[in-house]
Order: sequence, then C-alpha cells, then structure tokens
Amino acid sequence: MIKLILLTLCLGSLTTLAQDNEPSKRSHAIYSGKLTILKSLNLDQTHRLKLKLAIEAGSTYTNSDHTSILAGTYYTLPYKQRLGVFISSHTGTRHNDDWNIKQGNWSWKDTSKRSETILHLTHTIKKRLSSLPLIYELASEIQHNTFNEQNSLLLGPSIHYFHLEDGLPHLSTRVKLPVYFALNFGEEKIYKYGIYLAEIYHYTKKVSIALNYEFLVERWSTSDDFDRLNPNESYMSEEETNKFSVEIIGSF
Amino acid sequence: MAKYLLILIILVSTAAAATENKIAFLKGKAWINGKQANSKQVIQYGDSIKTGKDSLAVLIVQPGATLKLKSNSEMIIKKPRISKTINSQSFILKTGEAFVKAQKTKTNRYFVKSKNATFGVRGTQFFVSAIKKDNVWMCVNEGSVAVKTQASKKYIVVNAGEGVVIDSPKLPKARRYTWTKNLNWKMNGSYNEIKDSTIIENLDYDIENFDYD
Repeated sequence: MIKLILLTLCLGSLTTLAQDNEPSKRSHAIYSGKLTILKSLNLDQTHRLKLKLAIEAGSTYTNSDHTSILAGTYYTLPYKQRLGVFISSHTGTRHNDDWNIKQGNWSWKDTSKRSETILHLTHTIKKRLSSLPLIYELASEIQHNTFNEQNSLLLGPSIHYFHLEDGLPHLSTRVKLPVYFALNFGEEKIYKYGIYLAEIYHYTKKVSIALNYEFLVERWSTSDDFDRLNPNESYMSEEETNKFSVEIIGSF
Repeated sequence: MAKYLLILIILVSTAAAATENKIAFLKGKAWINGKQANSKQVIQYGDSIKTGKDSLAVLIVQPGATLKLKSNSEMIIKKPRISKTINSQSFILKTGEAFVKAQKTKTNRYFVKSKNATFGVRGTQFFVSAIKKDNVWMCVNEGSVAVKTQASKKYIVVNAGEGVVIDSPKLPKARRYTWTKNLNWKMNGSYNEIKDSTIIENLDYDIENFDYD
C-alpha cells in the first residue's frame, strides 16, 4: 500500500517536472513599424521586374527589439503569375531549439541580438474577380534559413477588396490566411498559422499607409535540450501572438 | 411676289443652315484657327477648333456627325472626300478628348485620326482621349469602331462596351472597360447635363498591379 502511494507520488512529480520543462502556452501582443519600397522596371512590353525593399522594426516576444530587412525582386510571368527572389536578415526570431535549460531553469533564449539570414523563393497568382474591385491571390513561398538550415513552405491565400473613387483606390481591405509548413524540422508539419488583416489607405497612386493586424499561432515542438534530458518524451506547445503594425508603402 | 420671295429666302437659308457645320454649344472659350469663337459660329472644312481650360464645345459636322470636345482639346475638321458610293469625312484629334456620335448610313464613313491610330467609325458613338503623351484611349458606347495603328496594315473591331489603349505600333487588344459606362455620352442639353468629369489619368490604374507584399 505504501509502495503504491509512493509510486503514485513519484509519477505525479515526474509529470509536474515535465510540464515545467515545456514552454507554457502564452498569448501576447507585439508592435512594429514597416517601410516597403517597390520600384517597377519594364524590361519590354510584356516583361517587368519589380524591386522590393522592406524594413521593419518592433518588439518581440520578450519586448526587446526585433528588426528585419528584406530585398529582392519580382518577375512578372504570363497568366497573372509572378516569381520572386529575396534575401532577408532578421533579429529576434525564435526557434524550437531556443527553449533551453540554464542552471536548472528552463527558459527561452534571448535572440534579440542574433542575426539570421533567410532566402525566399516566391510564386504568386493574382487575379481580379470579374468586374468587382476584388483581387484574389494565392502566394506560395519556400524559405531557407541559413542560420539553422531549416526549410519552410508558406501558403497564403488572400483576398483584397478595393474601395474605388473615380477609378482610383481610396481604401482597401486585405485578408490573408498564412499557413507555414516545416519541411525538415520539428515534429509538427504545420508549425505556424493564423490570419492577417490589413486596412490600407491609398494616400496617392504611389503612397499608401497600412494598419496591419496579424493573429498567429506558433507551435513549438521538442527542443534539443529537452530531448537530450528527456529522450522518451516530447511536447507541443502553442503560443499566440497578436501583432499590430503600421506600414508605409511606396510604389514607384 | 415679295411674300413668295421672302418665303423662298427663308427656305433657302434654313436649308443652308441645315447643311452648315457649326458650334452648336459652347461653355468657356474656344478658338477657330486661333481666333476666338462663339456659340453658333459656322465652321469651315479645314478649320482647327481648340477649346480652353474648363471649356466644352459641341460641334455639328454635316451630314451626320456630332462631336463633343472636352477642355484643352484641339480638332481639325478635314474636307470630306465624296465619291459616287461613299462620302468619307475625317477628323484629326491633335490633343485632348472628344466624344463622337456619327449617324449610321450606307454612304457615310467617318474617321478620327490621332497621333498614332485611326478609328474608322461605322455609325456609332465612341470616346477618344489623346491627352497622354504616350498613348491614346478609345472606348465604344454604341455600334463598332475599326482601329488601325499607324504602323499596322490590319485593323481590329471594337464593339460597344469595349475599349483599347494604343501605346505601341502594335495592334491593341480590345477589352471590356467598366469606366465606359461612367462617361457622360449626352450631346444635348445644358452644360451640367452634357459635361463629362471623367479623369482619364485615373482610369489606367490597375488594381491587379497594386503590390503589398
């Protein structure tokens, strides 16, 4: 009887320990500002390049700084398609293996000073639905993170409705449903998903201001440290992020 | 005798007036061959008619064409070529924007020429804009228009509800434009009834080309 009680207590404490070792489910808000510059270059009557530069700065999970810069180009293909090649640099990004143990305590590593480079290959199909000022778009993107050699696939269907005045957009509303697939890491195939809303004020034909809201769910799976100490266990923890940002878009 | 002479004079002058080309309506300022014109003024073949800023002129060109010139527009009325079977009338839109309404008949043919295209009117109503430096816009409200660029030997037919943008020597493709319906096609009435407030610079904004990410 006493052995049974002791066994139950031990199992209970082990379970408790395992829960403390896992990232707890959290929900938080982060804020950022972004500047996006797009420049079109007509190669000939049918082919066009669009250069893009985007700079973003804001808060991260731990309220420290997050910055990113992205540069690259789109190339227009037939049938409303577009290919994009970009390179970006980020600080403040978090990965599964950033869940670490230090002096007996589990916590997320501070990555606010860590710079990571990501290569992006994108494909977009964009089409206007009949005579309505409504564009639907399907974007797919392969990302390769040179920091940890992780590859991801992003699928992002979206619709964009334009409120027109005298033929020009005055306001537009965009909704996107991004889903991120882990191609060579983690235990969860879908490691991130959410919804993205943007309300864009078209100040002129060339300059727009966007208020963005993004609700993202990130799924953290077993880190290397946890796996090393608990080889027969695993976890999946979700973290919700509410991201608010203001963006200025210049298209020349 | 005098009474019959008077009636004859009235009939002849009425008949003459019916065959005269003239400015039927004028708001603001217009010039014919550089000289300021007024409403109801007669236009001769070969005349160049120019409208000023915030002006609107409606021209009647016999036997059956009505043209509405928007502000800052200039058009030349060419002398018609008359043959046994076909009467061919040409207008040259040097700059600006014009609405054209041509009476459909078996013998009358109308052509509007801009800097890089010719529009063969087949009894119809259409709008042409030559205000942009590098291109010409045209859309059809009624009937059809044959479009030929200066460099091409062929032409395309643009039907009602369709339009073209000519921005190269190649033949354009006709497509439906919703802004065709927003143009004011009226040729008769007061200024407020016939004025067209469409801003052509805004119409080439393609929302498909708006990039966000």
